[in-house]
Amino acid sequence: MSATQYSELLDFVARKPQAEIRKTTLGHHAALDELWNVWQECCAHNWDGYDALPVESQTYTAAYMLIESLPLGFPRPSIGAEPDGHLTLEWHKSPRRTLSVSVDPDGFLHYAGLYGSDKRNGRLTFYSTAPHELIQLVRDI
Amino acid sequence: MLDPSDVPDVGHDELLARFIYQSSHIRPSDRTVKPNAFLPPKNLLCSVTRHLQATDDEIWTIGQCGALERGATLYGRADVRSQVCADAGLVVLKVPVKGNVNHADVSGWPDDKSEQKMIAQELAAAATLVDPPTAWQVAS
Repeated sequence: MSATQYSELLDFVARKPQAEIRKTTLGHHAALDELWNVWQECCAHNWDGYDALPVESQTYTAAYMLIESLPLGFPRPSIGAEPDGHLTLEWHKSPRRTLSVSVDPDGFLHYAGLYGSDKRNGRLTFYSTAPHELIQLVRDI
Repeated sequence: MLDPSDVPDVGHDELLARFIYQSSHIRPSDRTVKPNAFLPPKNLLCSVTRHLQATDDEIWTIGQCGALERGATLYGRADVRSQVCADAGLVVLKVPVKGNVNHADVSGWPDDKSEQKMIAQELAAAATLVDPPTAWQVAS
């Protein structure tokens, strides 16, 4: 490898993590766009082929508010839906370091996470700001 | 496929397939399956297909027929061992149905939502996502 190639490789390695971080944390627009797309796909009955309930507009609104209330620069969640009509925010690093948070239409958050060999699950209440416990759960992933 | 007149109970180490008809159940970043794919519907029975005595083509044909019946797209299947279900406190019951003698239901789910999610996390972490045959993807 030439000196120039080596220098370019070092530059690439130094730049890549920053680019990856920017891609996954910038604002909330990307997450809100994904939320909209998932809702559009899952607002009719049987959207998963297994008799799933539709995602109601109240659930969409609750998930929207939760995403909006996350701190700027916070890791971006991936959005999904569940058979009972809840929406999901997921923070995933690996199969055994992953957190899934369900948003229901009544403002409750049901979560389950794998933290290596540790497991955490429970329920939180969401009003208008993201619960401190949720922020910590994500940071611990 | 299994002999319809002699369907054995589900063994401890059988491979089970969960067909995925919803694109958001798959993580595009690393091509793994989300726990949402395993969460049961309101009857708390998660429908799966046993690999026992079935060829890969037969398994995919069942999944594709399911997609046609539902008017849905088959995005893949998540394969998981029955032992993983048992370790999570679930029971896999043989439930042959018309067109799929290898059908089974994963039952024994708790009522609590976060506990359901915890179990689904375990199943997803142990599952392997398998993409549909390339020819089908091109055709569709």
